[in-house]
Amino acid sequence: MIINSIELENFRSFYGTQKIDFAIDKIKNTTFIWADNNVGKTNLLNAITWCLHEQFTSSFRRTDDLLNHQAKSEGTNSFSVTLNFEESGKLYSVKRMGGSLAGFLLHEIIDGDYRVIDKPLLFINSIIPKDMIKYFIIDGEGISESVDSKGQISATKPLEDIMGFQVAEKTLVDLKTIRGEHTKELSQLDVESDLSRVQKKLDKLEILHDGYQKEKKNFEDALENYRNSYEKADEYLKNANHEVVKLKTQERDRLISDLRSQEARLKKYEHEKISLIRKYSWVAFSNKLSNEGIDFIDENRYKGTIPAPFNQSLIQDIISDAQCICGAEIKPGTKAYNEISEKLGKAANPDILNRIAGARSQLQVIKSFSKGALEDISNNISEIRSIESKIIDIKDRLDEISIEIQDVETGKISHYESEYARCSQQIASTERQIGSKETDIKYCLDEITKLRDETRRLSALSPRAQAMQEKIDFIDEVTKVIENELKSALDNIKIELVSKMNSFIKTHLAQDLTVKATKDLKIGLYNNNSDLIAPGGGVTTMLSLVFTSVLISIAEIRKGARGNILTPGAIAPVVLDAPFSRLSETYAPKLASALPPNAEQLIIFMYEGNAKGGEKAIRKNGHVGREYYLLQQLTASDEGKPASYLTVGDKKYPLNEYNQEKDTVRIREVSPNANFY
Amino acid sequence: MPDNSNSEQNLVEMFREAADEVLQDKHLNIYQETARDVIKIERKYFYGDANNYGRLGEIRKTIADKFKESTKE
Repeated sequence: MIINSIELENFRSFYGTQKIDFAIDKIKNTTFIWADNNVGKTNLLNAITWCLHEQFTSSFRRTDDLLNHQAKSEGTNSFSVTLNFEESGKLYSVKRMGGSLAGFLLHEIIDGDYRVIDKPLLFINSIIPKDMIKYFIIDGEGISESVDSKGQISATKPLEDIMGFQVAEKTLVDLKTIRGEHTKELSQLDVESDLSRVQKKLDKLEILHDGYQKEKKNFEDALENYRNSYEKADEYLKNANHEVVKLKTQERDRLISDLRSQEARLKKYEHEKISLIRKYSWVAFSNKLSNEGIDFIDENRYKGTIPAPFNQSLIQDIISDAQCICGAEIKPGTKAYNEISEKLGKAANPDILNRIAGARSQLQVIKSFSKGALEDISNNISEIRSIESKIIDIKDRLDEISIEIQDVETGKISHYESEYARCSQQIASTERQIGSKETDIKYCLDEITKLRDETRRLSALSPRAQAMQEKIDFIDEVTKVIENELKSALDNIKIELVSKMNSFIKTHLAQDLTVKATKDLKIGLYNNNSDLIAPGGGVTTMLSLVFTSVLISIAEIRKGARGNILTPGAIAPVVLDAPFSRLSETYAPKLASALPPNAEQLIIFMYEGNAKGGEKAIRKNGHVGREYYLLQQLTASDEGKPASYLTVGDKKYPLNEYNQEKDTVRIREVSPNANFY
Repeated sequence: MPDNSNSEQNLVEMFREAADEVLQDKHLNIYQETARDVIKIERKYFYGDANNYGRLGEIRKTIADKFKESTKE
């Protein structure tokens, strides 16, 4: 999409009908629009988003007050914005009207004839989807508001938007609804009461699971907020110009670092404890058993009693041969015969002897092993106790530090410290709650899996139920296709994003900066020492602009996507409000040089004095195709206020005029013949 | 009477689901085909001019048809 022109009719500060023809040349693709602050830049930018998708940027206030006040006072009750644009070699005109003549019209222009397109919204969305437009048209605040207090951007949502996740996610919700309808039907099949019972249980568990997921999400959102407030308070305290606080926060940092390392050690020893229990549990059992149950094997205690020290086969031989090993005759019925026969009952047989030898040897192993077990487990327990005690000490000291900082007689410090302490507690408690929800979710999922298997088994008993179950399984498979596509798309695009951002930065901005992404896809700029660069000093804006630029390039590449699951991307003008104002004078010209070649069409709003050399770089590289300024006309008298002028090249243009007939903003073109250098 | 063919044609072009591409999708299995068709319906309502009343009905029908197709295979 290339926007050829915009026509505003009584839209916000623009009275009457006013028009801008944008730069549409491939090289001279940039349009500058100059204006003082609060004159109409945001209105103009929002005229585009309103016309296309009835959307507004975050800094646009009073969204229900779009009719120009001057026109309204004259009895006009409607307003409109028209965009004339080109897409795939064809010309179109889209017009949104508000007020008494509200409506939305889209025409294709063929040889000057306007042909109505009857599904305008669908058509516009096929060119620039409504979930992507905010990444193309960005107001001043929007540029840096995406960067958090640490200097990182959460890239997940923008990436999901730019790839059209919203539609796929809505589809998943609808599939779940339809699945629910089928499972309900299944539970109502009265032919199989067991099935109905299991299905009802399953329904309840699924509802419970969804509830836990929502609760977990709420906790995660809350955690994010607590962390942000915590970091803000921490940042304030660290930078507070107060010697005591400085020392205390330094001590606290050391203690927190120590606490983390002790907690990591504790975790390690707790894991070790589990391993030791696994390793030695049988020894403990066997030791107890040997002490209480098989002590009779103890040779010293029971020597000469059980079993008797007579060999069974020797005695049997004596009896059967009726002769002793000394040669004496042992006749049945004699006293000697009877005594020897009596011993046979107590005589040992070789099998028993072998078993006893084995048991004795095993007992020796157990005994020596139990000594080691006792030592290992005692060491582990004592180490755990020692770490726990250290952790308690550190936490006590941290509490004391907090009280000491709060006692500092400075209102703001005390306020931030109590905020720090509050958030710190909330973070710990919310993390526990998230952990607990994760356990609940895991339990639900395990039970759901079991019950689903049970449902399948029971469904197989009834043809009707089986057919229903097969349909549910079918929906599950379709759901999996979409879920897998979303997951793999996000995994792939993460790598692509970081690589493209690094390439952009190395090529256009700085060799010593690198973009890295955390596991949860927070993008930050890092220096050569791999330290995350804190926000401020233009770095925030630079990171944000590079991120935006790469997002747009991803959207452009994805315009050719097939779109089976994810919405194809888009090519659209990039509209930026004062992009260079927060950049340093080193980075502004570099970034300005990189922007036009990386966009199909660029519209930049600026006010004099904030261009930071960005304007000059774009001009010098020959990318400026059109240039306008917004002239504020006021009925009020100047009352000694200095006149405001825009200087472009060797010409000066007034940005405000007093004592005018009407309050309005006029769009005026900067003379293309101005001598710039 | 407005000529709708242009609009429809562009929709097809823009979402890269032109007939030839659908033919290229022959290798898709029945679940992938169903996912694609359900997404198309969803997209029509999400981005489109129609109200949402018919959305679930259309999706139900698509699933029923595709499921039927799958049982014949």
